[in-house]
Amino acid sequence: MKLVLKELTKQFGDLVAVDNLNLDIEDGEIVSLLGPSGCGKTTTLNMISGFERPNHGKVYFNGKCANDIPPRERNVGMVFQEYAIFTTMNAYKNIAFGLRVRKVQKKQIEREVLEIAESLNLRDALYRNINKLNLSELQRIALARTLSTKPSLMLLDEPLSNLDAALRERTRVELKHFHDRWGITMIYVTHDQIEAISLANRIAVMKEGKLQQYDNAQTIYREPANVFIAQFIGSPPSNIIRGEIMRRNGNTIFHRGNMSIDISNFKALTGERVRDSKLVIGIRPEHIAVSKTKNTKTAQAAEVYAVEPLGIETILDLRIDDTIIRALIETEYSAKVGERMYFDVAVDEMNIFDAETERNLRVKG
Amino acid sequence: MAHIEIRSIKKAFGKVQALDRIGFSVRDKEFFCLVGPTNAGKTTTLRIIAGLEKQDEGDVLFDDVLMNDVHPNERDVAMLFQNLALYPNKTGFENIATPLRIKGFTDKEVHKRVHEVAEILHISHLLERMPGTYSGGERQRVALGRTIIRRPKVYLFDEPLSNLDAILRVEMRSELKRLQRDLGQTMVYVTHDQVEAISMSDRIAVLHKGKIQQIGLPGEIFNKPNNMFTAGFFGSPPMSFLKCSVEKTGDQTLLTANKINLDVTSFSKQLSGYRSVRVGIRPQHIKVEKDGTGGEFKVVAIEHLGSKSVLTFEAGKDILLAVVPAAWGIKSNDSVRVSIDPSKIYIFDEETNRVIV
Repeated sequence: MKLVLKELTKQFGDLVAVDNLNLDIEDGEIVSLLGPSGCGKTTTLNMISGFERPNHGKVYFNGKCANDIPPRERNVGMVFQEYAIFTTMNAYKNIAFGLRVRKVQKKQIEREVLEIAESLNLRDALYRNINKLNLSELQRIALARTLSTKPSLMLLDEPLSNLDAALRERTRVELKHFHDRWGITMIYVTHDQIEAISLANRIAVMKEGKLQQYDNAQTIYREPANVFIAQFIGSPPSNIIRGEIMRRNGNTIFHRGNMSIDISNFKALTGERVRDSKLVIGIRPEHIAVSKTKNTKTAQAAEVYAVEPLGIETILDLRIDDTIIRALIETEYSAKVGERMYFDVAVDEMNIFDAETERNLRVKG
Repeated sequence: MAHIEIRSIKKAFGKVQALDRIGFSVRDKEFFCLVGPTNAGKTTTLRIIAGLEKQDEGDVLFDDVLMNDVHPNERDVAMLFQNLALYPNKTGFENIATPLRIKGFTDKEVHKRVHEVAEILHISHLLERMPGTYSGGERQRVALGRTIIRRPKVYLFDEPLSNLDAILRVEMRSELKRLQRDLGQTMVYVTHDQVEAISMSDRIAVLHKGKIQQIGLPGEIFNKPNNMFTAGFFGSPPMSFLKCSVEKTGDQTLLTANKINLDVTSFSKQLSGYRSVRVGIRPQHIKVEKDGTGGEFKVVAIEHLGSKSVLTFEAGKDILLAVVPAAWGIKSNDSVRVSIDPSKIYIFDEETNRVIV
């Protein structure tokens, strides 16, 4: 089903929870609403399901305004953080429930249940004691049960949040497979940027009720529309460095204290900005190369300020004067706190933001 | 000041053996992590240390003093849980002050201690507000304040970061670590998150099905796993395990599976007597190229994570995962060349799951 949100606004007292939200969601797409707690993502979901009424704006289902359709007639399936299943029935009966209510023939029920179970890797769980299943299996049963009611749209509100780290990763992959198999339109609410990037066709990043950017994962990751997004996406997120422009030997240089980066290549973007005007740059930690010796002309010295090993990779905090730059490096090349190191920036992958508006100069409009 | 000694603890709930001869010692001022999946026995262990649960067998000692029959109140430990309960009708100040009020501290002393703790946790601005107005992270910090104000011998933390959102969790990780160092107190920290364990701990005990799998420094646990469980638990995405047969041709020893040949002649001694083994390969140690000498594999699935992409391949009945720098261009069903560096693999016994090499 094609879903359109137009100028959607919801206020709770003085608080504008959702502020003039416009979104187009194509049939079969999985769109993620991503943002920190309190950004309005769940309120948006509630307006789509009909549990909340917008103060202004409209929700369109396949071109038809749904504002006055009561929730139960919207044919929307919902899955929440807490799995909702019948704990007195086994998985098979849970999934079959929606079909039995609609008086589908027994043979057909069996076929559909098996097909849905297969798509969520639940075949082995169908007849087992439901109290012996793990949280991932229970949540997948909830998904299967919701799908069996044949909704035209599925709304998922942080469905993986209650799972432990390892299960969450595995279930994420299964959820993606599930969506690919059934091609049902899905809205997926999460605060976890990795889930959004890995699952969604498009991501709507929200903050304080306002839409910040709506695009595919690659674009949002590589060209975040503003400083907020650059710092919200990525683990660890982008380095954001606030500094000034200066000229050196005809080149345009960004600097903050003794740290400097040649940004002559971005001339078309920095355009009018003259000496001493303020600028913000964003560099992803994986775009910083580190070495113990100065082996390129552009490499700059820094002191290792903190080391956070993550296993195969390590986060290094490098300090130059009062600037801390985070680099993500392979643990084998790790360093000790206080040691002197040299770093280089992959300039082409950098983003440049206006110091006033904090908008990305690489993103038009 | 406290070191903790756990000796051969057993605990059953009905027929379920929750803990099966657990033993470890936590050094004074150490950040010690109990890590494992859900139902591994982590929380039960923590509750036994606190005295909230009584073990069936075995001993708990604090500074060489037997604690088995010491009431939780008198053990001088402080616990922090995943689900924090703040008093909703009390200000942040009073919430933090509660443990001191109970112990009958003077107003002046309470005032001083609360402000000290608030300073450490950067929550001075929250003291006059009610918990209802806090965000998730603010709540967590106030609860933390209430836990640490008493300066007990030992801190016991049970998944304190699980309910926080992703960004806050990463932030609190380094903050908690710093806090523990500043307080200079012994800490036992329970988590299911391998990244938390690796990044925060001085030492780690890996728990699975009520048994200790391995105890060691984070680097040891990650790089020298004892068995397949530990190897598969640490690292994200997890290590892949391939069933390979051991083949000897002349001087050479090869491990082979569907389109994969690994020259492991240098390990031929350890592999003598084995006909087949499980080979563990970290996804980061697999080289993926468009062309090249590696075996040709079809990409079954690709998952983009921003800075990197995870590729899934099928090798016979086994799944092989590879992590590559962001490869937005690769699609499912593309053919690529895959090669594995034999010096980076782990070899496990199929029967015992224990590491051979």
